[in-house]
Amino acid sequence: TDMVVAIDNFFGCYLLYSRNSKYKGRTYIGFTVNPERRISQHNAGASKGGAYRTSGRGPWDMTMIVHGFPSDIAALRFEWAWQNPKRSRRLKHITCKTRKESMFQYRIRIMSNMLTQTPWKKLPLTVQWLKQEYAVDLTPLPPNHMPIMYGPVSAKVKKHKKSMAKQSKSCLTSSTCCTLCNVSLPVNVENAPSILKCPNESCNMASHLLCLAKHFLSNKFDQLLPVDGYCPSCNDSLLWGALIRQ
Amino acid sequence: MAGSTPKSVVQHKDNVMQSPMNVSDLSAIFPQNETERSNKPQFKTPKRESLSESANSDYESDPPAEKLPFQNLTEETSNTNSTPGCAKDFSETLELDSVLIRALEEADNVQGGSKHNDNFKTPKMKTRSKKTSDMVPITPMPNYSDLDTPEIIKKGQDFGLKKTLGKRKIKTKLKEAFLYNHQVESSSEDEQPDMNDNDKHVAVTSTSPLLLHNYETETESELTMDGADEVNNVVLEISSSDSNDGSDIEELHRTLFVPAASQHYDITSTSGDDVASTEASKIKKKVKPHNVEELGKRLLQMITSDEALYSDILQYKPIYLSQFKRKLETENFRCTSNELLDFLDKQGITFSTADERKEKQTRRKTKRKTKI
Repeated sequence: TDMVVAIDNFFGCYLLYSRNSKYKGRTYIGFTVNPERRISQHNAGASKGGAYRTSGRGPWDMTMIVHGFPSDIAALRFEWAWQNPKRSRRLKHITCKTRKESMFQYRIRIMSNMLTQTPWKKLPLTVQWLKQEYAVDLTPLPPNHMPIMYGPVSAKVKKHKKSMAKQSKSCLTSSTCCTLCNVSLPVNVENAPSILKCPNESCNMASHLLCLAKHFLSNKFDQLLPVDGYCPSCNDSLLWGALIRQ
Repeated sequence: MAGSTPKSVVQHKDNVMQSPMNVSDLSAIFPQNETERSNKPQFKTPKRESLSESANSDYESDPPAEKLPFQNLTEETSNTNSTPGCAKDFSETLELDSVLIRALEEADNVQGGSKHNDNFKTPKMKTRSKKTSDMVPITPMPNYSDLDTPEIIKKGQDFGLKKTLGKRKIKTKLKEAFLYNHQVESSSEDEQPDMNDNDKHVAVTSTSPLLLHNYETETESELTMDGADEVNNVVLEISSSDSNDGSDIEELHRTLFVPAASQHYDITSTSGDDVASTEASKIKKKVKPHNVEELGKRLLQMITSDEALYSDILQYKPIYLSQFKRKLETENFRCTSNELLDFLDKQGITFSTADERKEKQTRRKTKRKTKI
C-alpha cells in the first residue's frame, strides 16, 4: 500500500463488473469517497453496506474509476448522468447501446463521451484503470489535462503531518508580494485559500487566486474557469485543478 | 363525589386486565411456566395500586393529564419481558390506548369543568367494555423512512405502486395510504354512536385531527429532509471525515440530482406574474439579451465583477442555483433557466439545484395548505 498514492478529498465514480457466472457481464456505476472500502462493501453484501443491486451478485471487480472531482456534488452529478444517459440533458446525443456492444463497453463509451463534454471536460479529472484486464482505449480520448492512469488508488483518510508541515514552512519562506499584481499577500496563508503557489520547489511564485486566473485566461476571454496555463515566474506548465488541490 | 371516580377507573382496569389473566391460566398448563405464574400476581397487584393511586392523585390535585399515559408506558415496557406471547402485547396496546383516551377525556373534563358530573361516568364504562371486544388498536405508523429498499418496494407493490416510482415517492405514498387506512380506526368511529354528552363529542373530534396533523407534519418534515437539509449534512460529513460511506450518498443523489438534469426550469415562467405587475420589470424585459453570445458576455462580466462568487467558482465550489438566480434578478438580468444552465455547463461550473427544489416543494405545500 505504500506504493499507492493516497489522494486527499477523494470523490470518484467507478464501474463494477461482476465475475459471478450467474450474473456475468453485469455492471454497476457508483460513487465513493473511498474506493478500497467501497469495493469490499459491495462484495460483502447489503448487510455490510453494499448496494442492493450488487448484493449477492458478486464477486465484483472495480474495473476503473474517474476521480479528481472537486466536490461530492460534482461527482454525484457525473454518476447520475453516467447511469442515466438518456435522461440527462447533456447526453442526448449519445446513441443507444448496440447489440454488439456489451453493457461494460457501452458504459465505457458513455464515460469517454462525458469526459469530452460540458460541464465535465473542464474538471480536473483522472481516469484510472484499476484492473489491467479491463483496460481499453477510450474513444473519444479525454481532454489533454485528464491523465489516464493504471493501478490501484486509495483515498487519504487523514491529512499527513508531513504535508501540513511543508505547507507552513513554505508559507514562512514565501515572498509576501503577488508575482502578478505586486500587491502584498496576506501573511496568514492558512486562512486565505485565495493564494496560489507554483508547485515547482525552486520557483517561489505566489499570487492571488484571481490574478493567476486572469493570467491563465489572458487569451480566452469567453472563459471563467481556467484549465491550465504557464507559471508567470518559471514558465512551467500548470494545471488549475492541481493548484487548487494544493 | 370525588371518591367515587377513582373506583370506577379501577373497575374498568379489571375489565381490561382480563385477557392477560386468561393467558396466564393457559400458561399454567405448561409446567415450565409455573414460576412465571407465581410471579404474576406479585407484579400485577402493585401495578393496579399504582394506577389507582395515580388516578387518585389526578383528581385531587389536577396535574397535567399527559403525565399519566407516559408513566404507564414505562411500567408496561418493563413488564413485558416476563410475560408470554402476543396476547399480552395486544392487551397492553388496548390498555395503553384506553389510558390515553381516558387521559384525553379527563383533560377535556378539566377544561369543561364537568368533572363531577355523574351522567358522564356510566357511558364511559360502556364504551370501554365495547372496545375490549371489537376495537382495533391504533398501530403506530411503521417507520417507512428507515426501511430497506427492497422492503419499501415490496410494500409499495402491495398497494399497486410500481417499482419505477422511486423510493422517495413510494415512501410518501405509503404514508398517505397508512393515514387513509388508519384514521378510521383511531377510536373515533367506535365511540361516536355512543356519544350523548356534548363534551365528549368535542373530545373525540379534537383527538383525531390532532393525530392526523402530527402524521402530516412528520411526512412533511421528512420530505424537506430529503431535500437540501440532508444533503448539507452529508456534504459536511464527507468533507470533514471519511466516516460516511458512499452508500448513503448513493441513495441521496438519486433523489436529489435526478431532476436537476432532466427538468427544464424556466425563470420567466415562474416569475411571470411579477413581470406583468410592475413597470420596472418591463424595462428589464427590454434588457434581456436575445443573442446567446451576448448573454454569455453579460453573465461573464457579472460573475467576474463579483469577487467572492468568482473566487468560489475558481475553487470549484458548487454554486446554488436559486441564490444565483436571485442575484440575477437583483441585477435586472433576465434569461430562461435553460440558457443559464447551458452557460454554467459550458463554463464547467458545478451548480446544485437542491435548494431550488426545496423551495419549489415548500411553495407547493403552502399552495396546498391554502386550498384546504
